[in-house]
Amino acid sequence: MAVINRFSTLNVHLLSNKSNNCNIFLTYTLSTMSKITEKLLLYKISTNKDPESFGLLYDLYVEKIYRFIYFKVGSKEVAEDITSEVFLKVWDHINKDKEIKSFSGLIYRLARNTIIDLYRSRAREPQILDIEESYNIADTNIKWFEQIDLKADVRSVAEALEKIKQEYKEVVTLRYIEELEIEEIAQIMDKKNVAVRVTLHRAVKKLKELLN
Amino acid sequence: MSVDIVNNLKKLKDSGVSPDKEWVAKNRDLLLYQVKNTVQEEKSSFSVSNLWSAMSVLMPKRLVYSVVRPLAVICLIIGLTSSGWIATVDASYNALPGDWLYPAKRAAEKTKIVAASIVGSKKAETKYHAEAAKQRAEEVKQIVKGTDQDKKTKVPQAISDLREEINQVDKNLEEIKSDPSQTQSDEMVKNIKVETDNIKLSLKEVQTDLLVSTENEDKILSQSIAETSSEVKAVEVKAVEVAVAKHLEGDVSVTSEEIVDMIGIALQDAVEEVEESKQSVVEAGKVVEGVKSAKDDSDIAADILLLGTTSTIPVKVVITSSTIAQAKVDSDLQVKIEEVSTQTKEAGAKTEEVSGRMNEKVNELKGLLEAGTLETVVEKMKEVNIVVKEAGDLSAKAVANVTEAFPVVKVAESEVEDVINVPVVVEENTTSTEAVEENTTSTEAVEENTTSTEVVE
Repeated sequence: MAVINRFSTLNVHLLSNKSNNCNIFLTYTLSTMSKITEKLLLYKISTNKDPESFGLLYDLYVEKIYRFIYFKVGSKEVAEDITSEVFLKVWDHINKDKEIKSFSGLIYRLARNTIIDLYRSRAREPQILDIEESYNIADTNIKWFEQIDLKADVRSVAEALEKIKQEYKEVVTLRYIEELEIEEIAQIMDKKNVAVRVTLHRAVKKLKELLN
Repeated sequence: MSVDIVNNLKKLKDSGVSPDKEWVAKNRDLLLYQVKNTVQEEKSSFSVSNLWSAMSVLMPKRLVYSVVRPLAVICLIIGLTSSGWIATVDASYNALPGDWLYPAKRAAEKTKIVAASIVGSKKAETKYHAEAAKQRAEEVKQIVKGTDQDKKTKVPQAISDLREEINQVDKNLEEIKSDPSQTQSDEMVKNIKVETDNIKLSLKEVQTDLLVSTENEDKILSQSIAETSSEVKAVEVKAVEVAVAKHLEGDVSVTSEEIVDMIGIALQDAVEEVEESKQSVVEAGKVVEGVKSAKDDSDIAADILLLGTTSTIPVKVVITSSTIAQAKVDSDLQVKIEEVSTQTKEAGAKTEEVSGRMNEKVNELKGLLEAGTLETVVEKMKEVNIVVKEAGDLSAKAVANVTEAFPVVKVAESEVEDVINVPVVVEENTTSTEAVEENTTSTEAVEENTTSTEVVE
């Protein structure tokens, strides 16, 4: 209950557009409902090895995961490849009968690790990579926001987001773009809740500085 | 400002950074295709572990595994043990020693007794011991009648268990008698009377069954059953003694009328028993004489003679024409028959004497009852019991002598009705109490029986 209160007050504070309690309640109910659906699907997958349920889970997450990866890698093709790889990893993980505290926590962590693995493998084998290509990736990586049509203030926020530390960027993305809960972010980043809050606070502060 | 940042970040989400719809659909198909390849075509059946994971859909997994599951298991264990206990004890009611449910039966009995002793109810404890004794007697009966191969070891064990319970009842009665705080004993005394009656009945049946046996172990068993029987009778007297003692102490639950009734019934039983014993001896004598007086092969009069007519299941001595023919030539058998004849005659004389003494005691007791001197009545009852035992021993010996000499078989009840001298027997049984008063009936009975054999011819 305390957790709910904390989120609702946070939401009210952040949105500041005087959204009423009813709205918050609705959001909370919807998120709870989707959590239950999610757990039900997971149960079906782990006990019945049901590919159809996995398909539904894919429908729920594909967009979010793609976006999360896209913000990180900045390339449509790479994001697509990594996304499909992540979903395969998710299937394996569910069928290992390990406890899954939060599915979103799991899938984002797998996505994050897959990206890290990709960077590492590229760093280990520089000779194989075409220098120009890697430069291109890096290049598109910085300018991903330039490829899409954005309003001026949104674009400036995106620019600022690219300038801050990787860790800050990640927390801000997960919290405000993917709208995950602190607990889930903590799980993804393998940190304590408090640490995530602090990082988030610092990240927002840094963004403010840059925008001013 | 921070609000603006957050809002702008949210807008970033809706700013077209979404995957290509075509790719999403294509990737989905590919993914499901890949995933299906890893799945074997077997559907998982129901398992308990699925239940817990299904539960964790609705509540935290930790709660399910650390609270719900242990609770469910505990409930299941309690449910199974209690229902299982009830079902087992119920089913074990007819279990015999050696059956796998027998320990459950004994455990249930012991639990009752222990529970009663914990509560401190000596009377309840005594009652349960008496019930257990009845169960043991019933078991002895069942085993003897049954076809168990371990009969020889099980019967003595059951008898010794029975005696143990009887001794326990006796001990408890003694304690109740000497404890002035134990009142309201009428119910318990009545219960004991009911149980002991049942026990006596079972034991009598067992004795009849053992009569037909020619094995030496069975003779010994028969002896120990006779002893147990007299112990049971002693307990019965003890119960009356307790009733008398309590009545004299001022326990209003036991009235003097009730005590007089109780003693009256016990007395009648004793009289009947002596008469039965006497009758058995007479019958035994008749069998021997029948064999002796048989003239030729066609004379098989003894064939229908009944032995142990007093029992609910009579035993028939089978003397075929060949036995008689053999008796004519076999000097050993002749000597044996002669021997049995004298033994039986002696027994007859002795029973006659015992019966006379019995009458004396009965008269004395009646006098005491009329005078209302309850204290001495109990002592007299004990004396009566000694006489009853004496008569019982005599008749058992006489019958044993006959069954040793001649083959015997058990007669089915339906068969009894066909046997002609049964009406005579029934008549005698119903008039047995009167018979004591008129000592002359015994000779008449012999005469009657000889006439009945004539009828058969």
